Amino acid sequence: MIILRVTSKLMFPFILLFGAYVAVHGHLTPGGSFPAGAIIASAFLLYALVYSVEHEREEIIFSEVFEELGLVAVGIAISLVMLLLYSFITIYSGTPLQLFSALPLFFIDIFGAVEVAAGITIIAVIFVAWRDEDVTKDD
Amino acid sequence: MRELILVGLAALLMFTAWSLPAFGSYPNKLGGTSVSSYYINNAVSETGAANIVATIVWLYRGYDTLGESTILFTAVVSILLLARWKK
Repeated sequence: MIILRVTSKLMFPFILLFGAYVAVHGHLTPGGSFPAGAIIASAFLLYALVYSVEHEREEIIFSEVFEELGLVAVGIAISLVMLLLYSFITIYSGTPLQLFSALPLFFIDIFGAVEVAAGITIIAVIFVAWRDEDVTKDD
Repeated sequence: MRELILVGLAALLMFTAWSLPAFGSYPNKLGGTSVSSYYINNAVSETGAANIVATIVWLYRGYDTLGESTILFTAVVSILLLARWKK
């Protein structure tokens, strides 16, 4: 158990970093916002599984705000791209294979990663809280 | 009877897979006038993104993926409702 705690505490920032890498490079490499959000949420899920959930309500409200913000941002970005740019001019910006190319896709990937990460984190927090309740009831 | 239906379905699927173009072949039977060759030829120059799959999913068919994000949002909200219901 001590090995699990120390290892998960060590790996937590690196999993977050890898998720951010996948989100930021969504327009260059395989991946994108959904896998990036799942990776970021898996970091929080690992933390919740090992250390259990302490302030369930605060975490859920915090993540819910982020999820709604992310969904609204994705909606606004996609609608802008669809209505303003895609219909009559090209969305080209920057040279391909650079990090700051295809800026609409870049920002949509980041917003979508925020939304997916917050959503899956909410599910993980709720399920871990349920598990802890059941465990204490059985004891 | 059920085995017969399953064997027939498997034969149908095998026949369909056999008539598909070979993996990685371009231009293929579907190419030329189809939308896939348009994406392959124009996606990078139109959007500047090297990942054509992400380009199709988030830019060319953006509303579809927006609905997908809404599905995830709905699932999370329904799980929240269930959790509040139980307590």
